[in-house]
Amino acid sequence: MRQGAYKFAIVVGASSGIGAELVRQLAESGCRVAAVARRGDRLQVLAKEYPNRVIPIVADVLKFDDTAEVFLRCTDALGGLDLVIYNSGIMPDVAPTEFNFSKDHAMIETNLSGAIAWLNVTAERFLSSRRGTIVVIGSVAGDRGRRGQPVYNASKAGLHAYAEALRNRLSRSGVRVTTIKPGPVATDLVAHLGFRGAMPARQAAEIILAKSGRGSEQYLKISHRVIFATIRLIPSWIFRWIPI
Amino acid sequence: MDISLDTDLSKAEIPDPASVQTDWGFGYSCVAESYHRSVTSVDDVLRAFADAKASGRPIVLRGNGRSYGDVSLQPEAISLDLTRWNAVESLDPETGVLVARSGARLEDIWRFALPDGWWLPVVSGTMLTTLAGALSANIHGKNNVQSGTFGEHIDWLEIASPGRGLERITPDHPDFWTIVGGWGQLGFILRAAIRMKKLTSGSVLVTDYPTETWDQLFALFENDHDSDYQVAWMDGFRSGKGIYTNAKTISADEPASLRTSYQVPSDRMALRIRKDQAHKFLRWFTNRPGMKFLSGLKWLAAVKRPGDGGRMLPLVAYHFPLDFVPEWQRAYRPGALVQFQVGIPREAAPAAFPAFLRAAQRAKLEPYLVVVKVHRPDPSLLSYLCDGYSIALDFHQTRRNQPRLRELLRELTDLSHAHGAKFYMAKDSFLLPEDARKSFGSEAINQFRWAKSRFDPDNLITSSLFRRLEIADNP
Ligand SMILES: Cc1cc2nc3c(=O)[nH]c(=O)nc-3n(C[C@H](O)[C@H](O)[C@H](O)COP(=O)(O)OP(=O)(O)OC[C@H]3O[C@@H](n4cnc5c(N)ncnc54)[C@H](O)[C@@H]3O)c2cc1C
Ligand SMILES: NC(=O)c1ccc[n+]([C@@H]2O[C@H](COP(=O)([O-])OP(=O)(O)OC[C@H]3O[C@@H](n4cnc5c(N)ncnc54)[C@H](OP(=O)(O)O)[C@@H]3O)[C@@H](O)[C@H]2O)c1
Repeated sequence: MRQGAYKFAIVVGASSGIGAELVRQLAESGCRVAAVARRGDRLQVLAKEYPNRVIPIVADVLKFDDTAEVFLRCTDALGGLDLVIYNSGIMPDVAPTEFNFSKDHAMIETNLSGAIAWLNVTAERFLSSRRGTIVVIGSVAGDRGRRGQPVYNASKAGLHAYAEALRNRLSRSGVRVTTIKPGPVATDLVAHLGFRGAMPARQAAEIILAKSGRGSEQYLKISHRVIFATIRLIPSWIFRWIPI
Repeated sequence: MDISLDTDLSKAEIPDPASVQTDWGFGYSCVAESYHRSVTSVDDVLRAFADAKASGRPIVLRGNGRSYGDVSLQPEAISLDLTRWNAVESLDPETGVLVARSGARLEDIWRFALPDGWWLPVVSGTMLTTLAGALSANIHGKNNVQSGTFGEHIDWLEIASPGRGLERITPDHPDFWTIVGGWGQLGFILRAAIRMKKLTSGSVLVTDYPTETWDQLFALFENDHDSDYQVAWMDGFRSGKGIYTNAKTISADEPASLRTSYQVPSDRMALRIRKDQAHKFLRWFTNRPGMKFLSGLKWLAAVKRPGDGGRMLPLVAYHFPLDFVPEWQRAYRPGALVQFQVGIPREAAPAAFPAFLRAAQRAKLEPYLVVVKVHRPDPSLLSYLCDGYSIALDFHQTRRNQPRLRELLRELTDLSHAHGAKFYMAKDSFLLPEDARKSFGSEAINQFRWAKSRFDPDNLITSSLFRRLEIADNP
């Protein structure tokens, strides 16, 4: 991303991991950022790091009735809007034999419904102002239904389909919608999985911002693109036997 | 009229994100998004005041966005859009007094009135300016010395303000010259009555006089006593070279020339290129060598036909040539067109204008277009014209040259102050509060604030420019 590419951004899910890095890098490029998440103390730390650039907005994406109002608080505080990144996501530990609806429901609500609530208001505004960029943080996990995380996979697959539809709706109005599908990134989200070789969050954020204006589906690495293109081609009856 | 602006809104409504529109300053150097509301009735205006008061969201008044900078922009504000408040209501065939709603553009007005032989007493270089914009800027034309500013031809105007409701204001009202030339800060101008000028011919006799030096130019301006319109185009790359042009209205009876069909030029230019596509070709020339070449060509063409008998042009083609190359300013994209316009007292202009061009040449940021006009002082409280000359310099701002251009604009501003200059807010996106104080004078600014505190006590109406220059804050 070049210096000054964005002037006003909202990052939803900004308090830790990839989101916090996105906020930092946007602020460093000269952008004003509304940083949205529940943990206000973490947001305050970011705001102190970048006074006048980062505006902490404490909000829970699950309070759907408040979305329009929180969105307005962000745009008022920013004084404009050209980038919205929906990054909020959860992935609780799910045992191989566990079918816990409350965990599953929370994932669908945070990863998918929250995105729909936020991006619907964003889309309405961008459709009317005829410009803007939306970035959706999906996951390689949404490419296939895997035995380990059925609902996380489903939530991200749903998110990808929603983002693609949004892209198709908005592209003629000059609005870009980019779906990013990260592989493993070293953050709290996946700490319990003990991934080896996970990408540092700082690097992930750099790539996300560099690819933010592409207006298509993007992996963080070329190797991921090749691997996941192959994985998507594997017939289901074979995929079932692969332990991933 | 007594109108209560109290409202029963217990909670301010969340404005609809689907009403957000992106507005640019004319030259694309400023942009803001705001919640547009179309005005179709006086109630819409009063309702907007009430909503602004309840929600704390400011209002910005926007005409047709022909101002170059941020005088009709305010991010995230309620933007009252005049596009549909545009009817020309009446024209008195005896007196020539024309009444129009404030969204009527100069084009709507001449199309209505010219067939009956009435022309606007003062016009800007574009006919796309609205009546509201013409009044709020108190625009001037090429006949400024002869006819003054737009506001000097108004019988009355109607305004809706948060502090005083609806009023009809005549020129003898103590606040008339604060509203006219008041940049929409005191209230929403609803309609006005303009005294039109009677004509029998729709043509003007236009004569060009090429110049080699600035002295020649000033001599031409000073010694021309019987023209109706005077203006000069100067070459930004070759200081002193330019073309002084004057124009005279025709007294002969020529009813056919009053027809719209005669007035509007063809939509094609040389090589049958459609004029609305011309900005794409112009773009190739929107760089230093390209503009230097075109400027030289323009001057040479004028030398080939020196001030002989002149040529007849339709009034519209003469006054608004740029409007027939639609969106010409897009040739400056992806950069922007930044205009610097300043009024300089008569005795200082011959030293100041060449100094401006020298500074620009030193910075290798020559203006692509330079226009000089002659003026008399204007009566607005926040006045911008002096007894002397104005110069408008069009600069090409790119991502790379932006910091250098800002330095140059600062240098030009300081040079201007040294010559006792006045600045025109219609073109500004760059001045600082102290520049405004020097240009308008602290006394005028204080008086303006006093008017603001009566017309808009809660500061509901604002604009980025007025916030930047800290002019309109209530004491
Ligand atoms: C090519 C070109 C040539 C020009 N030539 C000249 C010239 O020769 N002479 C000259 O003087 N100017 C000239 N101008 C400048 C132009 O005339 C002014 O900027 C004018 O104010 C533009 O009016 P607008 O309708 O586009 O309104 P905007 O630019 O949108 O707004 C102008 C002002 O009007 C206010 N306003 C809008 N609506 C209302 C309302 N309802 N009530 C009260 N205030 C309101 C706005 O807040 C703002 O302060 C030129 C501009 C261009 C682009
Ligand atoms: N790490 C990986 O390997 C990886 C791989 C692929 C995709 N992703 C995706 O990347 C995104 C960021 O994840 P991360 O790895 O950076 O994890 P993280 O550090 O846990 O960040 C998740 C963010 O989402 C926010 N969030 C969660 N629930 C929320 C709620 N109800 N309301 C508002 N915000 C909420 C969190 O803020 P609060 O808790 O303060 O509210 C936090 O800022 C997620 O969408 C994730 O699915 C991660």
